[in-house]
Amino acid sequence: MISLTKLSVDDRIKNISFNLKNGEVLGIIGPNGAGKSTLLKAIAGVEKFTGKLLIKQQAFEDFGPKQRARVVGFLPQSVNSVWSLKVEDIVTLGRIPWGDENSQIVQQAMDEAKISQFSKRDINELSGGERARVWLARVLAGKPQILLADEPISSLDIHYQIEVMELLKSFAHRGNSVMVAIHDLSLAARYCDRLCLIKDGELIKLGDPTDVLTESILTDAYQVPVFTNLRANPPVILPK
Amino acid sequence: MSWSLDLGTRNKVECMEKTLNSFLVFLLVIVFWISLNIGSTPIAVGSGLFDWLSNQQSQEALIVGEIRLPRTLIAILVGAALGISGAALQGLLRNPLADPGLIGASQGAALGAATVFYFGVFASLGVFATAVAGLLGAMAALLIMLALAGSGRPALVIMAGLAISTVASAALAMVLNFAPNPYAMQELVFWLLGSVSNRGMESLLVLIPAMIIGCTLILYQQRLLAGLSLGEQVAESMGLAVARGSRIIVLGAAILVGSAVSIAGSIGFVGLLVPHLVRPFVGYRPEKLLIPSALVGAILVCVADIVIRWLPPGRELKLGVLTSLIGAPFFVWLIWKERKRWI
Repeated sequence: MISLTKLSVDDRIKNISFNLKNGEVLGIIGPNGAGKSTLLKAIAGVEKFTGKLLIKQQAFEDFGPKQRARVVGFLPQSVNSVWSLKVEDIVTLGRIPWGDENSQIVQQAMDEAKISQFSKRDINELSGGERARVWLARVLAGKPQILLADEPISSLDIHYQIEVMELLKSFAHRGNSVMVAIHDLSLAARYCDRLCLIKDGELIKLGDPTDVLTESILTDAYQVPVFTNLRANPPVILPK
Repeated sequence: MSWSLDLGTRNKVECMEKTLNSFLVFLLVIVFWISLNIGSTPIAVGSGLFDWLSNQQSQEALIVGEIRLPRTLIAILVGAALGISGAALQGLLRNPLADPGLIGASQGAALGAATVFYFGVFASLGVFATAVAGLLGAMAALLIMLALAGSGRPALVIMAGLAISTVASAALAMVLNFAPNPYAMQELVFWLLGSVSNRGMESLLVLIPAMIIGCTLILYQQRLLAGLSLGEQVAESMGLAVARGSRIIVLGAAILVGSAVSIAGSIGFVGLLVPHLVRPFVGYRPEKLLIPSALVGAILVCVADIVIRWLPPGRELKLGVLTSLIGAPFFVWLIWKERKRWI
């Protein structure tokens, strides 16, 4: 779906190369300030970069901004609505790349994110967990094939964390792809098909969770001793 | 009401929008007619208007065509220009406190227009000279404000606007200081207070094209205003050209504010007040706010001008003074209401 070759953003991302496969959830992990958000923003067209980026085998530059937005949906880390918009109106904003307000697709996106019951409510009346699902529904309404989510679960309780990750997984398994920046390594192990560990803008390790989430790699990356048990169900990764 | 069940929610919203706009147009027509009827001499407005349109010489035709019609139309156009530019700037800056007067655009325009009065720049442009200078002044003020603020954060925008309006006011004070004679100074001060009286039909030659161009530029960016509700990053990721679109909105607002100020002086707080009045009726959607704000702005300024003419004769209260007297307490209330969000 996506192929990066020597992608760089100033000195925040340095020569990163990897692929995002069809149907997979790729977790981007790494310590704070590693460049996870910058990487996602570059692919989403929000941040300028150098290097080669192919989206569905086409060069990034060949896409118009609207065309690109129809394929790639971006969920930033912190979203806020300045105005007291209705939930339904916010989800409808996701249709902007398509230039329509298709109510059927909007409804579908709200159903998927399980927010239909408060579609008429004011966004400011909702809890943090409910809002997070509204922002996600907004991206889903744009019918992207590639979803870039920047820490979508960081402010959620464990119930909604599971729910959002399940949603991302089922979205990917329908023939789409997801790239998700995530801090919770246990959930990363549980829900991501592959992981990409970055630090100081450089790619440290890319591969299956079992290859990346080893005690020595993590201890080295996070500078703190880490305990891992990936055979447990669910997998456990904790600082010692 | 089975039909309402058949309609989708979107259609219902569009229906509400149309109803709101039709109602406002209806109200505007009534206000327009009342305004034509208000004056020191009671006359038959209908026949006066007919005579004037059919080019017949009569006292009624003279009063309606030369005095009341231009005054009313200028009030409507100035109000509409300020209303829509306030709505557009609030949407663009994602800041409910953005107003052409509060972020320096009006002062910039006033400085530009005053410069024309004194130095006679752009003399070759004739009646358009003050308007062009006003536009340039408003645009310069807005661009400097945007550069200074660097983002849409409410406190920064207001502080940068305050800085720009202070600079522009200081320069304006200097222009007044060096006024060639006391009479010219008085004339300039009265113009700055804001009024739509004693302006001829030629003012419409400035206002109408400015209105058409400014509104087209702004309305063309409705989608950007909608997308910006969720911030610049989201807007950009949805394929919207944020930087280019923002410049177009600033240009549109500068054209509207610049022309309005150059004709009517500074009519404060209309751009702040109007979007707030309209917002609950359009579900707080910034892109749906534009046209109703233009209509409400037109109604409000026209009504204010009617009130002024209703007041006992003698020293006329200036239109800009009246709108500021109403608008300033509203601004105080707004800060009171918003302060929780800032702290």
